[in-house]
Amino acid sequence: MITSNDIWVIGDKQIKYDLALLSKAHSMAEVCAGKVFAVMLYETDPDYCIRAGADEVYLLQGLEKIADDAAIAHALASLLRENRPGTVLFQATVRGRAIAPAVAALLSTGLTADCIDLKMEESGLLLQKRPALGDSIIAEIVCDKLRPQMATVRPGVLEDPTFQEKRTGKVSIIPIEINALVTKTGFMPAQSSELLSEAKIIIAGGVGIGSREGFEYLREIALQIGGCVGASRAAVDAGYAPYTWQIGQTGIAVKPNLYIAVGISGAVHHLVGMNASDYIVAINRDAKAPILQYADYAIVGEWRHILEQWFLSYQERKVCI
Amino acid sequence: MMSQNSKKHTEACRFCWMCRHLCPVGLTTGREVNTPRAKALLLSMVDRGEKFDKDIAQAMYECVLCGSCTNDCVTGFDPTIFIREARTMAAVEDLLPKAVEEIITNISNTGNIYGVQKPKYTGTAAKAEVLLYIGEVAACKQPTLVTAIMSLLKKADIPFTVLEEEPASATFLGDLIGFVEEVRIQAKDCANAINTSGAKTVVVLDSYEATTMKQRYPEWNCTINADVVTATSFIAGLIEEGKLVPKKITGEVTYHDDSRLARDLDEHEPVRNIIKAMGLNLQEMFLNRRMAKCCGSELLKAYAPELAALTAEGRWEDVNRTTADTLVVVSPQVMNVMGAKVPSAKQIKDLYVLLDQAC
Amino acid sequence: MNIIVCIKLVPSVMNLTMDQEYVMQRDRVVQVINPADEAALEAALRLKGNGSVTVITMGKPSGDDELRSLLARGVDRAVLITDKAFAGADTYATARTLSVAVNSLGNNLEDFDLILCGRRAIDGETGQVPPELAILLKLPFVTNITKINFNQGKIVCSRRLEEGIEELELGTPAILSLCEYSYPLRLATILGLQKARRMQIITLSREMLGLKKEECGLKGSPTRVRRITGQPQGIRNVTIAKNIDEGIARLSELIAEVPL
Repeated sequence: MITSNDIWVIGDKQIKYDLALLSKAHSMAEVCAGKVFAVMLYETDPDYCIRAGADEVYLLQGLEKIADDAAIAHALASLLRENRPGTVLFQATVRGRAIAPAVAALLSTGLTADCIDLKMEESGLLLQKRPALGDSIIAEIVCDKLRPQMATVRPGVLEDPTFQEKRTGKVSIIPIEINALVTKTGFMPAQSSELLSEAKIIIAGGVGIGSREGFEYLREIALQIGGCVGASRAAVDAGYAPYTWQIGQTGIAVKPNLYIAVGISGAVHHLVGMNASDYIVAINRDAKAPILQYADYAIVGEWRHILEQWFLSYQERKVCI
Repeated sequence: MMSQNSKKHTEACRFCWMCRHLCPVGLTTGREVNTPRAKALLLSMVDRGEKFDKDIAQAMYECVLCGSCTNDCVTGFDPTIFIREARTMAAVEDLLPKAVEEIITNISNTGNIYGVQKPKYTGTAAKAEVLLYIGEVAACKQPTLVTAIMSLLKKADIPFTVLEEEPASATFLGDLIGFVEEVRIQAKDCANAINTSGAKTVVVLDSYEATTMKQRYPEWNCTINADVVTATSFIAGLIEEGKLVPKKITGEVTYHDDSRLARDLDEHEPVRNIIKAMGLNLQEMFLNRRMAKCCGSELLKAYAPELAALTAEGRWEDVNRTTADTLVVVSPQVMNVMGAKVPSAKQIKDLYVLLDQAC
Repeated sequence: MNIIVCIKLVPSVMNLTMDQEYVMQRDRVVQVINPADEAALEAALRLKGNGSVTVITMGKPSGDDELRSLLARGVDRAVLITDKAFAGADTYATARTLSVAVNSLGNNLEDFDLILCGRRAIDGETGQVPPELAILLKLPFVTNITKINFNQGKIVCSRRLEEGIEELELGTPAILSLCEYSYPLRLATILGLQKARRMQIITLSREMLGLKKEECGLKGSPTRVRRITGQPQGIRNVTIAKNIDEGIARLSELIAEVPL
């Protein structure tokens, strides 16, 4: 069997991103005359996958509780060896970024990490765009000699999925037997105020916050408005906030609708973690702080005073409603 | 074996010579080797194969690490980085000056630079939200300062505790042998002792130790769970909150910003606010706030007393240029160093002692 | 335990600056140990007990001094894999070179119990080498770890996922990748620095590893960078509030506009 121009999408846990990736795969498959296969590692309604663009859906069963990424990679690699698609795409989630390289190594092929854009050529060659060096450059990467060509795609960078109501496709259920060498013994879900990757509003503090108590105050405000609290590396280094709150190159990258940067000067490694936010507000007492250039709106003044004033007006309004 | 970072800083020097006009040591000795740029030059020679010998090691200790050159340098040249590393190198190569070695022995025997049993102090409670960290210089050499601070806290109705066995903050060891694991371990022990006390605020008497705790401890992963504040900020806060109401004293004073409050912590105004609250007329010295010229340090005085005498005299010259007859200080180190060289027409007073008398 | 730690030297993020086009300036940048690799090394030093810690790095021969500073912190052996032929390696070619190096070291010492890596490097930011290396060495692996313990012959670790922390257990040998700051690296001791002066750094070249030219570096890499474009760093057209009241009013509007 020779390699086709088919595109395989490995779906892992986050249905909205998986469907977006399927729609993207669908539009790329039209360019290179291939088909789209959805391989779902979790239980889900295959109809959504088909309407979003999949021609065939494989529901892999028995993987929900498996924490052994190497074992999952072995299962995927044997499926891929049988079917020989030209392209395999994963989500660039923590798990996706663990399983994908294992699969790539098993298939002795190339893998591009954390792509922010993909483009298919007629020949079936995939152009993979990814940022590097703290997002300051974009590298365009190809895997021109080996197949499959593989990429992990940063969640949230693709357009929302487009659904075609009348699409049909084949669904296969594949039970997978795994002898896991890694076992899961527990799980502690993150607190709602700490789910930064999903947050719509983030209030992030920098060293300008000046104390742990200041960060507690930020967290309280974030909880009140249904947002999350984040911190710059400098604030984490100063011991004001825990590492799990850190946003930036060595922390987490975020993309909320509204990002409020409080007392953050705007070091490059912080900017790369938050400049994809839809709207950025900077609150800083220094009108010359670099963060202001990267913000849509800025309030210059003492952060505590501003937030306290704002919070008073917010509570008044809440009472009115 | 110098780190790449150190090498970068030795090479960042553009040899413009402006730092020689700021170096408190170079200015008073007039020796070329005592300028920051000379130290950079010596270390770049070592990097190019010159032997790191006893003379070079000695030169690295003729520096107060005051940061004045760093503050003023346009190329971002920070001599304290490579001087500290060179001191580590001196320890590794067994080239420590004898006087320095003696102080290290004192620290390892007694935990303080003096090699004496550190006097004990007690707070108003065994457990309290406020912990007063006295530090070895004040504890051993400035008991009146400690008494004054404690009396002020009592007058402001602030219950406070003092560590029964106050560990060293690692400040002095870090200046002697550079930032090595031995120093970090000392810092960790200190942080642990503070954390065990359960205090929410640590009021640190010596601004040098406050700087170490606020700025170095986080880098070394020696987290202090409490907020660390300098005694000056804390006392200024008590006045602001109306918990301490000083009577007005008339008189003219001048104030010397010590290097840590001046440049590392950027705390220039709390002291001035205390002075103002007492109704004293402050005459600013030449080179104040961030630009303040260092008067020497207790550590320099311990291993090179003749040098510390020169740096103190250098700063007294600036005092002499003001019309004030009194120099007020808030640092036990400044009190000891400057206090040893008071010119006949002048006097030196501890601001906390004055404030305690006024409250 | 006998542990191998894979280390990469990267440009220090603290020193990165941007030029007027908002492109990072890399000259005058200091090479430092990748932050996540520091965590892996510290974890290894704490776990080793009576065993040994071997550090491996692939890079330019100038990495010598930085490796020596690791020997001064309690590392028993430092290996520098360096050869012009390794230049331009992508993650797969890197993992292949590292796997051959690990196998070649295995003959000199007892078998390894663990290989620890950082979860990703701050320059490439792929995080792909640890899983690829694991597959090539036929070992189980876990990525993104924030905590490790060794308990009755088993590795017990916490893994940070987007939605929470997973508690996992596995046997040895295995490959684990650690998150930045999970284990802040200790400093060098004076005694360690004295010892490190006399220690040798083991250098391995392509020939010594028995790798063919087409198996490593750019030639051995399946992926290829076709083009690099600078990206402006997201300068926005900022509006500065005329006064704090206006700012507070706008902030309220903005928060109200976010769909929750």
